[in-house]
Amino acid sequence: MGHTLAQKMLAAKCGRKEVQPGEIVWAQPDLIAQYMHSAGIPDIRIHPDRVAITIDHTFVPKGEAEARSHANMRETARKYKISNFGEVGRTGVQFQWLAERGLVRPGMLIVHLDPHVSTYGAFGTYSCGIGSDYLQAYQTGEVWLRVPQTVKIDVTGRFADGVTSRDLFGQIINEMGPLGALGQVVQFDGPTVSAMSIESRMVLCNMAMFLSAETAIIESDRKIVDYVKSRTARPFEVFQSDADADYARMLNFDVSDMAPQIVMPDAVYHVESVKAVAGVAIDQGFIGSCASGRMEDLRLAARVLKGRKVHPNVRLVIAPITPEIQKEAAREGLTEIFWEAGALVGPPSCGMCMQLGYGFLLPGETLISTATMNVPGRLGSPEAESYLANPATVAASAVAGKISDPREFL
Amino acid sequence: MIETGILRGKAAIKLGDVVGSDEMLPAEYMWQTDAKVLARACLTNHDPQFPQRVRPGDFVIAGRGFGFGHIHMNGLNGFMELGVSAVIAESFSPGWYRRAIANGFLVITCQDVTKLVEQGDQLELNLNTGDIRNLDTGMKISSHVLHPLLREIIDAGGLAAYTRNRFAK
Repeated sequence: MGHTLAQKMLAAKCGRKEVQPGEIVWAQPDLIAQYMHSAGIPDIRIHPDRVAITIDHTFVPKGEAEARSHANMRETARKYKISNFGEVGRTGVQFQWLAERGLVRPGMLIVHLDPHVSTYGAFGTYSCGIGSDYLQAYQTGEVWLRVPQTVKIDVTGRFADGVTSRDLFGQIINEMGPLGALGQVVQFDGPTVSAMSIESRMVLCNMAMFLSAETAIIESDRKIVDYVKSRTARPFEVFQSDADADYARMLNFDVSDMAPQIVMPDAVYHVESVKAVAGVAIDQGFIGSCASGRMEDLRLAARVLKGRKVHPNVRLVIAPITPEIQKEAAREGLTEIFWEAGALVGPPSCGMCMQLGYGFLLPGETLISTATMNVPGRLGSPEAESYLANPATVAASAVAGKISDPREFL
Repeated sequence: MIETGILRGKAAIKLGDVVGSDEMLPAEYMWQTDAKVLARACLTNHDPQFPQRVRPGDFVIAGRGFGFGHIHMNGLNGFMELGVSAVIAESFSPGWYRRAIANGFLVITCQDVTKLVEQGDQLELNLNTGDIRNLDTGMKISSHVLHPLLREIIDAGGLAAYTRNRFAK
């Protein structure tokens, strides 16, 4: 039997010829990233180029505790001469910024405090969340990893207008359930994934943890190689799965007849079609987070919002994911469209994805957003309701004042 | 007790499948960091009496996918403050499992545990063999023996202590 992409990458990262699913190995990450260090200055004994620290959850400190956390990160970067440090105003969301800086290259092992780092699986990296273990990896340069099995998901068909890779992920979670890939790696493949933009692939990989997966991964193609080469001169190695690799499971999805999906307020794995809940009144909309706020998200939202106004009963906040994207959106005239529609264009940051950003919800208020999760209490009162959907659906709902299928607005 | 590998305690609560990392306490404790407060609120959204009933050394029993979602720590911090000796679940979300190990907190995977254990049952867990004896029913249940490396990390008291020991050698 041949080996999967994940197996081959992890073997390389622990200096072995091969590794088998179930084994635990000490692997050497190429990059150890985090964004929230709050307790003092960590002990870092590895090369500073293997470390990345950014400030993104709280783009400006709202109080002393946050200001101290920022100061600690700043001081850490200074002390250890960490050049991959993202300062306020120059970073935005780390799960985009590192790629823009050429720090995410095929074949890398990237570990992070936060499992949303699976976003970088779109670049043919093995990227997984390790919680506070990054503090020990700072010292030893190593992290223990269990070699996972892989679930391969082949995607075919063409997306209808107003339907995105986020809706595809919703369908996948609906089909597989919240434990559908427990402890496994989800590998996306097939013609629809090849045809997808890098941005769409990042969104697809972003929420692997809601399948209880270790991470998600996509084999690198020309598109990825060209992007990375345009960002960095540093070398990298593209890994490929063996043709006879052993997969735990193989699934097929066809997107041709797929409709926009919506995550219901009670659970991040409860997904319905937007049509099923159309008409629910909303108070607030948000387009941003590490699962959105990229150019194609903003373009899609702008197509809905152009020449229209946000409903008088609704506040709409749009946060481009990084300063680079923010500038591009301004150059394309998207920012102007958002302003004309009556949206607040927020600073590049995690924004309204969590209470540490901004946007507290009162009991009884309803939010529809492109955030990553909606567990009660994450964004204000536990008695508020939070729906998750693609940026076109959020924009359409903000205009109508109620949850709406975006296809009627495109 | 962990040196001998034999742990005795009561199944203080039995939870279902997919208890998320943010669902181990009522939602209003999501941003709370004080361990004593977390202990008082721990699992009260599942059973308001849990913090009063649980005794140091007791076990938490759960179904599949325990610790689903983000790898937030509040539940874990509550368990540790209360002296819960282990979560025995049918399966764990990988991120939460890792955080438990990193904190030296015992996590035991046991396929049929919710079928064979009731709340209040006295259990004896043998870490060396993986055997769990239900002292109330006399039934013996097999759990996965913890991987030797993970056992070493837990015996050291967590990943920070384990790493210090490694450097000291």
